Amino acid sequence: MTGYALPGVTTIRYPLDGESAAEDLAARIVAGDRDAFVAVYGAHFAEVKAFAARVLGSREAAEDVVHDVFLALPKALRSFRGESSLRTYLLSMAVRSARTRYRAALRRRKHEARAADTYFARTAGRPDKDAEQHELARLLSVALDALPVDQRVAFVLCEIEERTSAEVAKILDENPSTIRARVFHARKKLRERLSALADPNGRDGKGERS
Amino acid sequence: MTDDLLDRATRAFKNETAPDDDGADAVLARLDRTRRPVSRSMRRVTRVAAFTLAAALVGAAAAASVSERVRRLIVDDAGLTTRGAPTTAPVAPSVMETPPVEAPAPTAAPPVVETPGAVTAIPSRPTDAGVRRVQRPVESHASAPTAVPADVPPPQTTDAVADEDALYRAAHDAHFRRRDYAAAVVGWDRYLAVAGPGSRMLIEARYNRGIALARLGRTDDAIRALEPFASGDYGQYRRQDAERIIEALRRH
Repeated sequence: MTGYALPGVTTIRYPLDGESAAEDLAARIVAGDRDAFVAVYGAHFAEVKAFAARVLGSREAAEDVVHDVFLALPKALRSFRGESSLRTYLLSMAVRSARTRYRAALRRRKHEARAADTYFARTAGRPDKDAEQHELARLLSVALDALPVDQRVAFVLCEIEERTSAEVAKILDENPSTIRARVFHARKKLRERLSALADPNGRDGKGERS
Repeated sequence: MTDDLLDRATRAFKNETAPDDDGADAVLARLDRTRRPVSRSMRRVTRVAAFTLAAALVGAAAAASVSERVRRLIVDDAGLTTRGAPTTAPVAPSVMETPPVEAPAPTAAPPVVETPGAVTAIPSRPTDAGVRRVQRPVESHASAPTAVPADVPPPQTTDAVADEDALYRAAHDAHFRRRDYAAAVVGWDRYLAVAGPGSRMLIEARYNRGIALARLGRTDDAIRALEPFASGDYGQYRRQDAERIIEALRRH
């Protein structure tokens, strides 16, 4: 759970009360209850934003996804029946939004020579960051850009966020075997791309393009 | 070695992009602004403005249509067109003619309304003509790239690739005239790759791409392409059509 303070909300302890409260909250959000909305927003903001940033590689684009998700939430929750957790439901919405923004986000970053929008450009100057870790993360970020969006989403959810393939299958409304296959192919491509990036003078000599 | 590299990079990436609450207040404020209820008088003003804008668009589109026809007449008279010279070989008839969806019941079958103008339907569509969606307003019919007649050739030179309108026309031609959906998908992708966020035909191109994918039987890709429309990412634009098509594709 993150530490985001919920302005003016003291009566709602979601998700401390468990997912059983989710359906009630959903009904309240549909009815226009702002406290309920802010409770869910506060509980899931960081997770949704982190997922979107990992897929899109941009904080601004990630915040746009969060905006999309929570703007559509009151209407979307009309069909929420509690078959999945609210968390899964929100991530499904985030996946849909991220997919629609993926190509534009990649294109924008490609054209932004300074790449001022990436996590890694922003953290580059921070003295407390371990240089090697930062470089590895940056390389993976570049390598991730070469993946098709479905493989990237599956990789982020399974490998970066360490969710089970069953959970990811639920989020993406796919079979677990499909998810495992996507992760397998993603890992294969990332391995090749990473070794090329880490050793620009290696056998393919491609190096880093960005 | 590379596995180790990937694992280390994955761990580093995870740490560097750990969830945080930065921006939570800003996004919430933005949401509050967006979701703020509109007063009744404001709503009335918005309606009047929308009506005025729509009237202006209809006028402009009609003017564009007339000038396009005049241009065609001039070009045709000068013998500058190269009619009937498709540059892409059509795909196999079985692919072209296989409908993407077989709707189980006539009353439930979704009409596929392709933008622009060309209204086609998935076979065994409802006999009730009222179910079919009426053609979209003039903007999609008469504005320049969409209203290009079927006999305008696709771009002939590589220079034209950079031209959004030419790319749109080429994709449109492949989709609606030649019904070469494989070429259409490639065409829509090429257009979408260069179309900026403010491009007039961006959303229509996305929708048409979804339809072309459905025509090719690429069900998963088609659903993925149409999902944003069904989930209301573009408001009510093609929403019901997309919902019905996705439903039918999933049943298929």
